[in-house]
Amino acid sequence: MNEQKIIINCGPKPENVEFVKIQNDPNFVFTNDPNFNTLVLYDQEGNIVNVNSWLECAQYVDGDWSNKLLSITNYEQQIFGFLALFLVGYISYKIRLRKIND
Amino acid sequence: MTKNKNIVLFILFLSILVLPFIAYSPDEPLEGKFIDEASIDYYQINTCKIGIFDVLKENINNKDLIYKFNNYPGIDCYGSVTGLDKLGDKFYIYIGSNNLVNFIHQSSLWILILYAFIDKNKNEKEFSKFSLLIVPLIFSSQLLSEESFYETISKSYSRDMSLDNFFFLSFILSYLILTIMINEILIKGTKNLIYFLPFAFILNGTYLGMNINFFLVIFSILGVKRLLESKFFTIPNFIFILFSFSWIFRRNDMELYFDVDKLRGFINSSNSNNSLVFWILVFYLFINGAIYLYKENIETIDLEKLSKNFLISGSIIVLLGFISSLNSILNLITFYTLGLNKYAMRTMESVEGSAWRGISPSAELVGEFFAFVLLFFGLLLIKYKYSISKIYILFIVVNLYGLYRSNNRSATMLLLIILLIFYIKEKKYFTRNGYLLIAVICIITLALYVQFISDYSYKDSAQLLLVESLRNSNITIDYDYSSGYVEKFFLTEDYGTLVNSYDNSSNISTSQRTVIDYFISGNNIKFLPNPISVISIISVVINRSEKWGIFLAKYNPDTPSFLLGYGPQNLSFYEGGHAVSPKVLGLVLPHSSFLVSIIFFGLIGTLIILYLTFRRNNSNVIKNDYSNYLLVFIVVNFIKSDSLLYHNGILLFLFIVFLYKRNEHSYSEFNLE
Repeated sequence: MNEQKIIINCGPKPENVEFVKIQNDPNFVFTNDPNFNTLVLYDQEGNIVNVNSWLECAQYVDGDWSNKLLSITNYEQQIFGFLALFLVGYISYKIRLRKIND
Repeated sequence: MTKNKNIVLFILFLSILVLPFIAYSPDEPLEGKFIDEASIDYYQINTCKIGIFDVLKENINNKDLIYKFNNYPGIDCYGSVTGLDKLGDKFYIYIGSNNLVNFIHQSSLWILILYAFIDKNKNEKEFSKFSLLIVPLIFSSQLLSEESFYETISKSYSRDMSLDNFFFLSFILSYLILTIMINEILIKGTKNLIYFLPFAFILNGTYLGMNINFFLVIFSILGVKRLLESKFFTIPNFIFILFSFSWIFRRNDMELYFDVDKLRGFINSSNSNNSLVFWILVFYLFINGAIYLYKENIETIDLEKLSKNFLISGSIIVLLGFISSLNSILNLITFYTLGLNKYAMRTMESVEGSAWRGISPSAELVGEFFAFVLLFFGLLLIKYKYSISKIYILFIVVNLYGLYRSNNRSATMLLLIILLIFYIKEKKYFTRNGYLLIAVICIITLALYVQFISDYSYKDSAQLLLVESLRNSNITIDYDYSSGYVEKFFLTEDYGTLVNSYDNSSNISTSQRTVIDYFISGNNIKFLPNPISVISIISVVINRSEKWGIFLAKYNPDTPSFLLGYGPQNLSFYEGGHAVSPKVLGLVLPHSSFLVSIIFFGLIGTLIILYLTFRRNNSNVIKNDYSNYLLVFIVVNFIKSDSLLYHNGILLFLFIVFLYKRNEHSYSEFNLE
């Protein structure tokens, strides 16, 4: 168990919680902690899970999930390209319109 | 022709609304399932793989489902399910969204609405190219200055100043395109923007996942235009620059994060120097933009048309509030398309304080709006006696219903009193002595109310403000168990001992210290009650003793900050700069625009604002003008409401101020500021 990694991802361990490693038990249900702000964790394939308690978060982080994920596709780059094209097209249209009016 | 054009615009609006949710459907979509206990696992395992339309198809009649946006996941998850939780007997399903996509999408929708509203082919007035450059740069800089807000709200957020940071670069381009588009619309004339003012209470314009508002961009463009066209070296500009330097150089270095909550889009979330400079600039441009708009158009506006637009707007607010409460997906749609700061109420039942706020972030604000709408319409009706059709009678009834549901009793009382006085004065029923008699009757009624009807006696009311402030402070209080669980200091009225016991002296705020010292000093004027007692009694009558008490407990300025303030939209030091009782949870606003103004601009700034508000030349002042009554209404409401914290509240206030100044017909630059 990497305690430092858990603290980085999930925050400090609450006083009343003990970390117990839960094995692959499909029937285990984590109890929601109303004082814990829901966190989103990612695995290496980009899957997402919302965790609602520190213990649940710690279990996932222990299983190599993390709160950071680098997008495989850089959608922001695509949007930037789209915006740049739109802008160039719009300016060209306006210049042409002005020439026609003149 | 116009009807066809509107239909085309409406279809375009709907198309744009659904477009990104279709465009960003998951790569390998899975089918949706009816959401109940059995399908929780399915949704929790398959995050970002089930599109919103697939969920809707299966759950259109699912009454236990509450839709929410989750802005944190990347664009990969846009429009698909990112999580499902069961809380109580409700299922909360989170739909992925993204700041950048939201910004482009919502801007497109709102530009279309603005385009439909503004008259085309009117006098074209060239806007400066300078605004095209400066406005996008200023607004993009917010992404860098409010780091703590954006990094918790979006996974894609990055402050790296590199050419690889397409998140930031895309925002610069988006702001540039938005500025160009707004320019293109405003170039046709700004007059219709005034007629659009009532609808600014429907179309709130706050971007999802961002701390910025569409109207800030519009008015900043107008603000730049005004600054370039008029003299810059004027007294108000000079004063504002002096104040700005004072805010920047006196800023406290404490690392504070302000949870923007329902003020999102018009408040500083950080205590950094950069964010302070950003909000100083944006506030300044916003106010200048509003001044430009009103100054250009106030003399020629059609007041009847405007008052009817207010009635229509109030009715739509009630209608949308009702629609949003019917179904969670409709609630989500109004939240997104109108750019609300807070999800609309999911019920038609009144909750907090027996008030219903509908789509508005605050019941108080919307109640004040309904009362204003009715007052404006009523005053003009009495003055000009214009005929009204049946549909407008229906609108009046709907607005009355909205006012009733908002439970804003003080705004209702004020509306009735002002309408009555205006009517009596118009009809010249009374002499001056008659009014004096009415005033005396009102004061006696108030005194009788406090003594016999209020839950508190006169003696208790006179100190309740102090009691509430001490109860909400981070101090040690001894209790008297023999009289029930009551604070000793309350029974003995010994504030001096309480303040000097334990380490209370260092834990109370400077404002509390000043008020208590004055209260116990005995420096009273003979036969007159202590001013603190008077304020305390007023706070009891208007149900503000607790809120103002918390204000005193929190507000801890040094002398320069008290005189000059912390800067516009900067509540972080007020909210987090001084520890209060742990039982004060969440964001508790001051509940008075005057107190908000003192936090932002200090006592001196507030007095200057009041002076500029009421100042007008005595020549050409029309006696018993309706605008005087509107101004009295809005200013009195400011005593107990936070309206100045909302952009639409400020726009309405400035509109009334300009209407009030309009009668003199001899503007001077200083007056208009």
